[in-house]
Amino acid sequence: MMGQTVERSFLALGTEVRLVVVLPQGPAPERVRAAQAQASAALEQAEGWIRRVESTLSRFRPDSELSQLNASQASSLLVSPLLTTALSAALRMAEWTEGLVNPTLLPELEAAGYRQSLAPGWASSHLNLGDVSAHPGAGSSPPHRVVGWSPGSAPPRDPERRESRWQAIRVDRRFHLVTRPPGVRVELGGTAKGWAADQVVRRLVGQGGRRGRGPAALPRGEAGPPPAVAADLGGDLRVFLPPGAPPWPVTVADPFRPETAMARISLPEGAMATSTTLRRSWEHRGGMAHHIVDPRTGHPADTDLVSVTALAPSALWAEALAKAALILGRQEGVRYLEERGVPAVLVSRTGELLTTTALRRYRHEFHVAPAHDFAAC
Amino acid sequence: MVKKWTALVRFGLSVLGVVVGTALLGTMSRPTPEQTVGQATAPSALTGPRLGEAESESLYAAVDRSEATLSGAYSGEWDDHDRYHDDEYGGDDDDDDYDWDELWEREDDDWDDRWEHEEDHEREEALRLRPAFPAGSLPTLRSRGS
Repeated sequence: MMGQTVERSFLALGTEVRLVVVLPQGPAPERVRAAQAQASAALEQAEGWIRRVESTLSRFRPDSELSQLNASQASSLLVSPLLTTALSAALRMAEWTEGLVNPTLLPELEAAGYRQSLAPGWASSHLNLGDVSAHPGAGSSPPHRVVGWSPGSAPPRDPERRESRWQAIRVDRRFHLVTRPPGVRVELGGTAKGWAADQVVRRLVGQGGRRGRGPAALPRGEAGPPPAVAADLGGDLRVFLPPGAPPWPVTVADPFRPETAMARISLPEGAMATSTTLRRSWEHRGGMAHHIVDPRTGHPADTDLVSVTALAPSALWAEALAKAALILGRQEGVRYLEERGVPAVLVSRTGELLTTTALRRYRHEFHVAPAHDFAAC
Repeated sequence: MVKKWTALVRFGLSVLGVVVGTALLGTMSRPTPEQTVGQATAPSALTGPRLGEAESESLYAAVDRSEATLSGAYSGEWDDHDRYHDDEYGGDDDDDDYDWDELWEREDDDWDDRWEHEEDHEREEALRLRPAFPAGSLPTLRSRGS
């Protein structure tokens, strides 16, 4: 039985965006209709806000504020509150991941060939999936070619070396002043979707945002619970569930066959994000490249993982954790997540399905048998 | 002479003693009113010798006196009882004095209120127990990676 659901789907930030509001059952029909109309209006405003985020933060738009910041030779610039907050969030993730996920890898991305938007539809038509090992347990998976740098061809990693330009950026959130060495360019693709998902949900449920700076809060019944809200920005999910609501069901796509679910996880709160090397990939200099740059090499990560799904209190954090583990690879990535108690599902290049111990806290089921369940260790 | 008078006095006293004694004996043998009530209902009265007419009259008179005494003893309580009913129903303790229509209407109103309250409570309880987001009400999301 589906509740009173109001949805809005559109393309923005180079991906598919889906906003969902589920109204509580119980009120009289006329009140439900009024609430639906108010929810639709709120989601329309939310879409407008996300489009404003895109027009402000996109590096592919020369007229965006971010592009103007990157083009400026001034060391200090006054920027909008939106750019201030988004850049602050990206720098905070860089700090938390010790630079594994940082916003100053734009030169490396461009050097790898990522100079234009990979909007939905573009990537799938350019991916040349060849021979790759089958996904164990998934039956007759199509042959598949490993995407990324083939073993041995990637530059050697230097554990001590991590791109550290991000540490030179200073953001004064009070005065919206950004200071950085001239020439340090910023790219927020690694955190903007998660951050925007968090912001949209928080503002829709009336937990954040200022008047005129974000979508309006959803109407709240006089006596009933508030609505359940979810934002899905290209797979970076943030949900809000009022007390008493059941966990939100989420399927995790098989990275080798994105239209097929490989797992189903009940998300009681917070966020979930999946980072994969298979979605935004392109041919480059006779090989395949992807958009996850390893700051230790300055090149697309040569990782034995193809996908990491992480659960966290916020989509910003979940996205950063998933990317960091993906960059680190199977052995280090699992250790990284285990040390932080992160519930996660990892898929290796060879199709092995791995889970962390913390995932045990969440109700989940797999459509393919995990090759290794760290919770059982 | 003296002896003659003395004997005469003794005879007179004896006669008087006999008369008084007889009278006293008769008085003592008559039942008290309370004893009469009890004895009259005793099974022995039905199976024993039949009383004379005079004795019966005397017995009934005693019973009447006893009832009168009882009535007097309870009269205050009945007055209180009547007053209670007067206060309760707004009238005398006489059915003819009640406004039964008004009473029934009042009773009906009370029951209507009670039922309405019960129904409201049941409705509220049902709403409280019915989940605002029943199972299956949330559409499935999809984390497909980026």
